[in-house]
Amino acid sequence: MSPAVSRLPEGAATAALAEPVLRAVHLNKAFYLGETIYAVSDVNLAIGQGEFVVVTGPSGSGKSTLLSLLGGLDRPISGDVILDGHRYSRFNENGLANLRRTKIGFIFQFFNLIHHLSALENVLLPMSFAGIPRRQRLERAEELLDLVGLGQRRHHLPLQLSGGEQQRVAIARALANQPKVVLADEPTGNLDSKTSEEVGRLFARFNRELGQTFVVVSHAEVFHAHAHRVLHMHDGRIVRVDQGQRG
Amino acid sequence: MAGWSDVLPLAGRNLRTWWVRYAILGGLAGLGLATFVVASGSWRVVACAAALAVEPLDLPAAVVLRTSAAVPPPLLEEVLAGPGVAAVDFARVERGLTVAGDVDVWAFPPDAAVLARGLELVAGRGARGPDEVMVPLTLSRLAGLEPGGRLPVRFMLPGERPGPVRELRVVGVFRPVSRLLDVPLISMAGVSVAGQTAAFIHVRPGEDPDEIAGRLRARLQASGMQGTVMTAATPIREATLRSADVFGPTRRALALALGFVGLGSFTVLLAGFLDRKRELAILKTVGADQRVIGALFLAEVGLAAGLGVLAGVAGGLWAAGWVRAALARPVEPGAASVAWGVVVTLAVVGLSVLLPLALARAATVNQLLTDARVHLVTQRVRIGRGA
Repeated sequence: MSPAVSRLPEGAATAALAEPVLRAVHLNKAFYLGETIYAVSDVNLAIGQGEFVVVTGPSGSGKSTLLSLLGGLDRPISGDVILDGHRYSRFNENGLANLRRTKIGFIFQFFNLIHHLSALENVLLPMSFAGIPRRQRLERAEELLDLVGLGQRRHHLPLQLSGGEQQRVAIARALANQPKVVLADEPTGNLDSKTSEEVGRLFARFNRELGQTFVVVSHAEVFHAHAHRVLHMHDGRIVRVDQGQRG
Repeated sequence: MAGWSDVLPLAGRNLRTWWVRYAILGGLAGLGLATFVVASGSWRVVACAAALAVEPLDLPAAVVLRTSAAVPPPLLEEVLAGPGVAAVDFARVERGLTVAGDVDVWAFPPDAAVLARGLELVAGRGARGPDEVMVPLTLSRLAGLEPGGRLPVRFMLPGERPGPVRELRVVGVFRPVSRLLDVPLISMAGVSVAGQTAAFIHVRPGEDPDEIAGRLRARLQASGMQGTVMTAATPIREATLRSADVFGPTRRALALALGFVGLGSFTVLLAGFLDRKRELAILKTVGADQRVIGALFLAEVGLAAGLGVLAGVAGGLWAAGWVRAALARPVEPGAASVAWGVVVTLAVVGLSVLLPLALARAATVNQLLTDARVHLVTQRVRIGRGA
């Protein structure tokens, strides 16, 4: 791993766990579908720097909504999210975009790559929005694609890649700006079990080596082996917290 | 923060990806602009012709010949220096510089019916010769001009420097019925059709205009030049009537073209926004702020519309030439009408991008990803501050 992707000092991830990087405070989100439905109901949460948290629960339990709120992709009706000391409620859309650009990486179930851009260009995108010099961003993007094993396929368009490969591009893109937190919404929901295992190992590796905080919404047990904590949601609430296998 | 150097390549890629859509947008802009160029190029001339709607010419002097713009004035002078020619007036309908500043000076057929239709004579009489002029009331008051006074005018050919000062004799003051006619009027045989008339040739009474015209044609042919020489009032009248019949259609074409550009652009861009919600969501997710989204939209639309405008200018000028040559319609777009066309076209396209752009900027990532309806005006979400 070259200096373009900075490695965390040995043991730092564990040491930093005590310091919360991401907090949800009395977070509520409701939708009106004939009646008011609370997708997220009074959620309080603190996630430490370098922690690997899995959020699980049945469909409709509010996992994805919670993740959207944690990532500033949506606004709560009440409560707040604090990322690295920044309260979302004090930011407008531009401020949230700036936070997402610099501090959060997103990975989605359907990869959400831009189809007419190559793998490399997709990874370059967040860095160009962050104003990173052209040469530096190219170097980092190539290195990230090498890291996820797609160095040889960097010029392929997403539709020329398999699902697993597309998700690896999405992972490289999520890590492009070296975010503090990576939020993943059902990242293996569209992948076979073997590829899911690979993605799980990749997450764990980046979590260990780069010290990035991972919050992964998933039904799949594949992430439990790498998690410090597993949060169970039901009806918009966190109903149980289990220690993960690394916890 | 991303700059234009980051946004433009992305806009270029998007343009290639959505090329059909942007080709339609650019095509609409180009087509609209071309129509604008042709229609506005004929506007002034046609307006003049329509305002003066010629009755059978009642010529006070034997002013018969009219030559095309292709005949250079020195050649005219050389050819017409022979017997029979009373005077040569070059492009009298072009712009003139007067004591009141830069104003248009129009020729009109010295015919009572025209006076009755277009003007109300308040003092003096109508102009009857090439050195006589009627001035509108406004200019009369502004410059203290009354019948018997003098109006110095420097005539200009298109694209050339003003000629020497000529003193026209003020013979009448009129109140224009139309604002179009609020300019000094000189008496000419027939109505000039801008861009086609290089000169009016005054033939001495009793001379044969056809003989003079024949001399001119022969000289033109010998010089290898092209040009037309009209020798009677009838073709002049026909040209004027052709001008008049273009007036209505061009105005309607102009309005339709701009309407199509506006509606078409709006539809294309709104459809583009709806189709590209997911892409916008991804851009926002990875940190594109409203400035970047706006810049990207404007760059894409600007590139497409810019190409359309270039094509429109070229197409408009070509079409104007074709209309002139093939249909003998008086279409002479000037730099000003082309510039106005560009400005109006870009403004119309720019206006049509506002709503899609506002929607794109107002939407949250989740609204875009989940196809939720986007409201430009929303209630402020109450967000607790407690922590």
